[in-house]
Amino acid sequence: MYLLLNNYKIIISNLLITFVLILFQSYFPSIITSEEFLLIKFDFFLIYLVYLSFLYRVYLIIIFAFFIGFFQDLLVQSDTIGLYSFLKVLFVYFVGHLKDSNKIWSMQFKFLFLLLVIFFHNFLYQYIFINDINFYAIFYILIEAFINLILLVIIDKVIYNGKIF
Amino acid sequence: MSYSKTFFINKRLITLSIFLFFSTFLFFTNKSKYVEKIERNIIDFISFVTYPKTWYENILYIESNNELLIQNITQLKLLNSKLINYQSENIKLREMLNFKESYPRLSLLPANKVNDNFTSIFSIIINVGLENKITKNQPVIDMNGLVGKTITIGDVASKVQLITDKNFAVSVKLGEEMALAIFKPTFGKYGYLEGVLKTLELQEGEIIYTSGVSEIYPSDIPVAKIVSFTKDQDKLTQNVVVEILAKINELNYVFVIK
Repeated sequence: MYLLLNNYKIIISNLLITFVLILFQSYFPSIITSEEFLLIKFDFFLIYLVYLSFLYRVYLIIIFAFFIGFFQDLLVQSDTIGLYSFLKVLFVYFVGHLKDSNKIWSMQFKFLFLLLVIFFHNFLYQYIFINDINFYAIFYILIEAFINLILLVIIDKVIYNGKIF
Repeated sequence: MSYSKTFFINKRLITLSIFLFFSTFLFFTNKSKYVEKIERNIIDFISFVTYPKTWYENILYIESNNELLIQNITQLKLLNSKLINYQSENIKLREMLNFKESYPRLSLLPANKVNDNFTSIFSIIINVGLENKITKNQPVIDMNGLVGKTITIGDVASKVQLITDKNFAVSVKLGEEMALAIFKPTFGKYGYLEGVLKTLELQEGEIIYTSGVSEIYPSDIPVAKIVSFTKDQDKLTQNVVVEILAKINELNYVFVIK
């Protein structure tokens, strides 16, 4: 409630950052794979959601993720409105678990957990669009999750001073 | 876990549930091939998950159906045996009809054996009486031969003295010469002939018929067949043992000769 009602500056700034990230992401180059329709992309917005989850209360970020996911649906794929909202909401919920157990879990387990969460986020998204999920598709999705995790670690170390890990 | 943390986790769960519901609702309101694909997958998944339940329900259905079928089979078997019984009865009745037609000069009145007489084992009760214009001393036959004669007449039923009664006697003819003799029962289905001359040539298995001499019995009704015959030196006549043709123990339908 503090975030939504009292601190307008924070809300506006975060919204602006989000829109910029989504636009930036949509123009950012992707890696073409051998699988049709499957591109390995850097998901800056997803990383930003992790950061927001650690910074603010998770339930507020869930609401935020829903609306931004909805906006992303409208921009990216109007045939599946609600898909990104669904995935982003779930993603933030699981990141909330990581936040709760941040001091308990080991570094390796945190990596593994985030890798799995990003992987399932991407897998569920790709599952809708790819007719035949084969080994290569799963492999590329795993690579994408891994790249995004590395990007998250780098950003965490460089920008957030290791707040997450 | 502190109260405030529990509160936040619950709040998180409630928020998650609400927004997952909203996003799912939004997703399924789309009419695209991707949404259809997910719908198909969900249907398949539900079908897979509910398969044991469906299977079990099917088993129960089959079991109850099986019981019903067993009942039906039993009923049909009973019906079938009833029909078979009707068929054999029909065949018997047809035979009787043919038998009746084979005696065109006799007026045969069909009757059913109602019951064995309680007072004597040598008599039966049939379901025709005064109403059918039955009178005393009318011969009764079945398809094989002479059964007896009516002795007591009621309005709707009559008592028949059987051929096996010790007091029963009937004039018969036998042999090529059509010699006369008297048939008398002995025991069971057997009887003997009185007054058969030694000179008369007989054959085992020969059928003897009523002679027509008596006022009661018309001629040419089969009575018995010869089982054996012996000749004693100190007697003028032969000892002829005969077997009654009528199936006294299996009587069901009979005819009264009017």
